[in-house]
Amino acid sequence: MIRLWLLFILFYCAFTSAQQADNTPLNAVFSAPKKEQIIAVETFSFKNKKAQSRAIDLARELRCPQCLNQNLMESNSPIAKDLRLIVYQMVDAGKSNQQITNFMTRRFGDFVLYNPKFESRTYLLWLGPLLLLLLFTIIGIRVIKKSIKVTD
Amino acid sequence: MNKKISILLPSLFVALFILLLMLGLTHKSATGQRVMQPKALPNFQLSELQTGKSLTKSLFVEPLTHHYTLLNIWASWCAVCKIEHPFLLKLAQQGVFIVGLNYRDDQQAATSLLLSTGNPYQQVIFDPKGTLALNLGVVGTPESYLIDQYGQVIARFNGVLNDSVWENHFKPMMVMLTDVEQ
Repeated sequence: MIRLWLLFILFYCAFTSAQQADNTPLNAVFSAPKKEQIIAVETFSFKNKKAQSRAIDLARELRCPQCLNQNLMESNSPIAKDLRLIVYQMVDAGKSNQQITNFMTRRFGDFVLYNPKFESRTYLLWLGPLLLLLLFTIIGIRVIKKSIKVTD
Repeated sequence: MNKKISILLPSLFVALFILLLMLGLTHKSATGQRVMQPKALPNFQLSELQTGKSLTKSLFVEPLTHHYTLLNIWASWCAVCKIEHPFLLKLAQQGVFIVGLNYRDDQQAATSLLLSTGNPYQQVIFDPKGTLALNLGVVGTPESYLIDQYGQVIARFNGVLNDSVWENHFKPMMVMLTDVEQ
């Protein structure tokens, strides 16, 4: 009976997510990047090495708004190239990581953050795994203790 | 008895977890298209697609005869926009003031597409490099923004505009606007 229920729930999930796929960013189309755009991004020269590594690290932490799971470094979509150039320029101009992240989230929402903020909305996201680990440790210890008692 | 519980409890947990995930799924679609805080339209300096006339933010804030403007982001290479096109023509016929934002497109291709399929737009902002679109936070075409007469973006929608989206997403905001005015 329980198995039947689980199967039902699974199918329901698959069905609803298929319906939702209708209006994801995937449904919207985008064009290929222009040549001068690629050159501008790929040959960007930083004032110093430190700025360069900070910019690249930050671009890795920001998700391309058009793609479902690619960061600004990986994606080849024109919007990702543009945003990467903006990250480079802002870092080179001495803007802090927080300022740049704010710039991005103001436009594209929290969706672009690969490193979500720690706030009331995301407590479950950050603390959930720890809680699960704790739960399984407790259960594990109990089970082991019990089996030791039985063998004794 | 004990054995029964040891089977039932974990499956209950799993079921609850799946339920939580399902809720998350439905919630996600709600955040993508949710009602937003009014946000000022960014400044821009671009040209009109067909006439080449210079366009700025004043297009949306100068003394207007209408309470709101629909800003529609489109491109000639976008196949989904073609599905949306007849609906925009219908809206234009009903008297909705629509401004187009031509996104990362070729001027020639865009102009000839409007000539052959009809033009629902009062003006089309030509944005070949996607600069205004980037400041607006455009994710992909088609995308639509509802802008009030003070140049504030009051609603946005990513995807194909149709009757149900129009009724459920934009109409309520427009009714609110006209109510405040009167």
